[in-house]
Amino acid sequence: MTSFLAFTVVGIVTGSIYALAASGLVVTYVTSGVFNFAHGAMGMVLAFVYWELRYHHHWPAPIALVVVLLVLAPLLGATVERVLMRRLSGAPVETTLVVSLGLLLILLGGATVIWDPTKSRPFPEMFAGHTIKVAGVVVSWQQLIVVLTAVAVAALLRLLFRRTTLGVAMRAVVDNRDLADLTGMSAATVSQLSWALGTMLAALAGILLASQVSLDPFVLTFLVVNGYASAMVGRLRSLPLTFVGGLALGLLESYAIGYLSSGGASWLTRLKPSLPTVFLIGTLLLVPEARLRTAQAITARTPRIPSARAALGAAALFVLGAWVLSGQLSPGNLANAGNGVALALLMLSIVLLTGYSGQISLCQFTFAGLGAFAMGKVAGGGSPLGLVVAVLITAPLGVLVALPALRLRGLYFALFTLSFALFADNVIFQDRHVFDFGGRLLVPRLRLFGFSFAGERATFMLLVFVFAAASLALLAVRRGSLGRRLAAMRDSQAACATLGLNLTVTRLAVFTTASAMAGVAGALYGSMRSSVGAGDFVMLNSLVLLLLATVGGIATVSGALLGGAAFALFPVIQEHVPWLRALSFLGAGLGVLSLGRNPNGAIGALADSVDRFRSRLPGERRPAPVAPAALAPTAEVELAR
Amino acid sequence: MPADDRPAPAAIELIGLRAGYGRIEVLHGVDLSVAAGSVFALLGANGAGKTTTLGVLAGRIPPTAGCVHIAGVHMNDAAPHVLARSGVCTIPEGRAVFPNLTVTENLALFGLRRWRRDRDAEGRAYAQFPALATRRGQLAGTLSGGEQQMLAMARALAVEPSVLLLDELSMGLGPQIVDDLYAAVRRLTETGITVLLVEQFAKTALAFADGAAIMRSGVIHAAGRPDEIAAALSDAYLGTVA
Repeated sequence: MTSFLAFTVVGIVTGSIYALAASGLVVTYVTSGVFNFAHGAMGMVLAFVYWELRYHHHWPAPIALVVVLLVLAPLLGATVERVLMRRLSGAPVETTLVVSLGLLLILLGGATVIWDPTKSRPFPEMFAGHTIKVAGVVVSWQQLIVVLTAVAVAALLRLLFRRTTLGVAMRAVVDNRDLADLTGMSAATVSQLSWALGTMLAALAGILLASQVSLDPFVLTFLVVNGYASAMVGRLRSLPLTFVGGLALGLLESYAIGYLSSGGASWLTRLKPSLPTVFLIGTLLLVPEARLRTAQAITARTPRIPSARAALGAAALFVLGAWVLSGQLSPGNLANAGNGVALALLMLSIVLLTGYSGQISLCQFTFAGLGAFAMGKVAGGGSPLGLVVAVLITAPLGVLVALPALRLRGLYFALFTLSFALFADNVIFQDRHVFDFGGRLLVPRLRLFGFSFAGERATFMLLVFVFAAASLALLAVRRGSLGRRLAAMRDSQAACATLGLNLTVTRLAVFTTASAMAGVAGALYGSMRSSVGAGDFVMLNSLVLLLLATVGGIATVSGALLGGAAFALFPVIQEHVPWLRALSFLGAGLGVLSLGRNPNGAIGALADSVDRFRSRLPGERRPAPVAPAALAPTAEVELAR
Repeated sequence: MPADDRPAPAAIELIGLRAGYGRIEVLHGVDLSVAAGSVFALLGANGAGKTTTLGVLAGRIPPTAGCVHIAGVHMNDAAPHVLARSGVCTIPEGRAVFPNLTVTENLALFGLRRWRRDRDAEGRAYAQFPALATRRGQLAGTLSGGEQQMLAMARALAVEPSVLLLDELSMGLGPQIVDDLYAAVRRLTETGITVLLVEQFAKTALAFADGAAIMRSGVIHAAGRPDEIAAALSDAYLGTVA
């Protein structure tokens, strides 16, 4: 009985921290309409700053707390709002998602550069040693402080949003920003205040978590996934329900750790760390179907689709160029280039999924991992059967993942795929039948019609050829009726529904195709690298993949090639600059921030400059391209209203 | 233009105004003067530039050339909230309410002056539109179209503006509600505020206005007293003759 009570106390304490983290997430979402994936990362950075002040520079705790919570945290939040988020008002969910993911990677990458994650940093409890007894259970002062803080924050937030004009104004800004401006408040200032408040809550949760768990950039950044789960219980709106969700999750986790550890079943022990993920999947499935929305502001101009002849010419040129180049490269560089093309192939699945049809997936590397696994296990002696099995595993799994989540749109769908990726990281990939914990799986090179692709150059050329063929196929799809249907779906799901298009079937088909593409890309990526492990396919890599695809140009095949090349280049650069840890995070994150200039990425920017140059040439009378802002934003109206 | 002998500056004056969206210019030099305390109707076919003109006046669309004067003050680059605070109240087209806030919360924001809630303004709104009083706690998004437009109009009552910009007040509403709304506008004009309205029902607007102008392809095509304009109406604009 006492052990039950002890577990309950621990559960309530962790639950309170989750609730605090989640409430900050809800505050920024409700008041800015942006789901801040970087919420945990912001809390993490501020917890590190607190550690730096408190234990490195030996500041007294109250002063360090005041400086971090009341000065630095609001400053960080307000800066993020001013520099990043303000430009995004009215932008589609994909854009806000990608930018906040970019911020996450920058903060994570930056923190690992400043604070070497391999060094241990003791972060003692507050008032260590002081305890009281509650109903026979020893409760530390820190635990008591955590719970009381959560209660106080809950009460204050409730008061703010229901009783004060500032709170009502904060909600009004996200409801209708233009109208808010017309009522005489400055919507920008109100948003900035909301971000300051949200970041204060993130810092509070980060510091409390760090003293409770450990001061580790990755752990702190992703513990907030537990916060996502509790926020989802309140449907990202209700703060009371968010607190209930946080407590429920904390208790569930505490009991699971307490009572399941003796079970011994290996998959159960692995399931424990992903309990919050399972909880998140569960709550997401209970989210009711989103109402269809009519068109939002058009922020991205669809890039020009090359004609069949132009595409074929470019593909032939690409294959020829790669052949010539591959003759000059050393085997090591050939392997790097091959990785780049394989990653570009994986990015093509994102071009189809996100670029063409506007769905965001944060688990493409998971499918790639399963593809590599199939290739490694089945393709003994390089049998093409490996590729077939890769498709046979990933396509049905794609259906399985997408089917329950098809009701979900935008953000919720992205979160669902994120949970799936985390689940696969913890439970599937670490299974000893798959990659095993810390293990490597050998993946053979392909052998087709008696021809072996064992050499680096042969596999490289195979990848180049597959990439060119897949690009041509994608472009053909884009030009055809399915492509028009996808573009229409991306523009306005509501209008599509009124035209009688079955969106569910289309979305399912696209997601399944993209999963299978990722599976094949993963199989080839694996055989290019010869051996792979669970670490190669973690969820974070899926984030980097999405961001780099966006930076390259998410709706273009050439953007995928550019993104894949960048992805493969980062580890090569890192070898020469070892102190720059997590370069791929920093690179992808910083790249995304430049997107404000052109939503179609680097390729889009290039195409625009070519257009501008041509329009200056005498004799060339091409209509000037219309700036994105030229298309007047239409008010977001819900059909169901 | 309505006759006005006093030297007082016009409530709204646009001189050679040019504006548009990105590289598309919509207004190609609009000249317009609205005397203080008058009701002025801006008419014209779809795409003539009426809503864009109001957008510039509300500070939502920056002008590329020309001048915007409000009560004699140069207001070219003022932000929307600055204009709103200086007494320009815009009721944009469509349902201009906060759908996820309750009726009371909407009114509290409308009467916002230095973050202090103005309970008098709420009282005035409920007196003017009794239908709203019975729905105080309801989310504005769940009101009917007419009630939402009443709520939007209630803002004009709450802030006691000096200039009221009305865009398509009657859009998508039944005649009875349109009459109620215009009755509210009429009562407002008795307090001496200036009203600039854009309306598709040309006759309704002309019966109501002291002056009017017809826009065509981004410029003022004709301006004058309502009876002068009525003659020019049919050849410039095939609007709904209500």
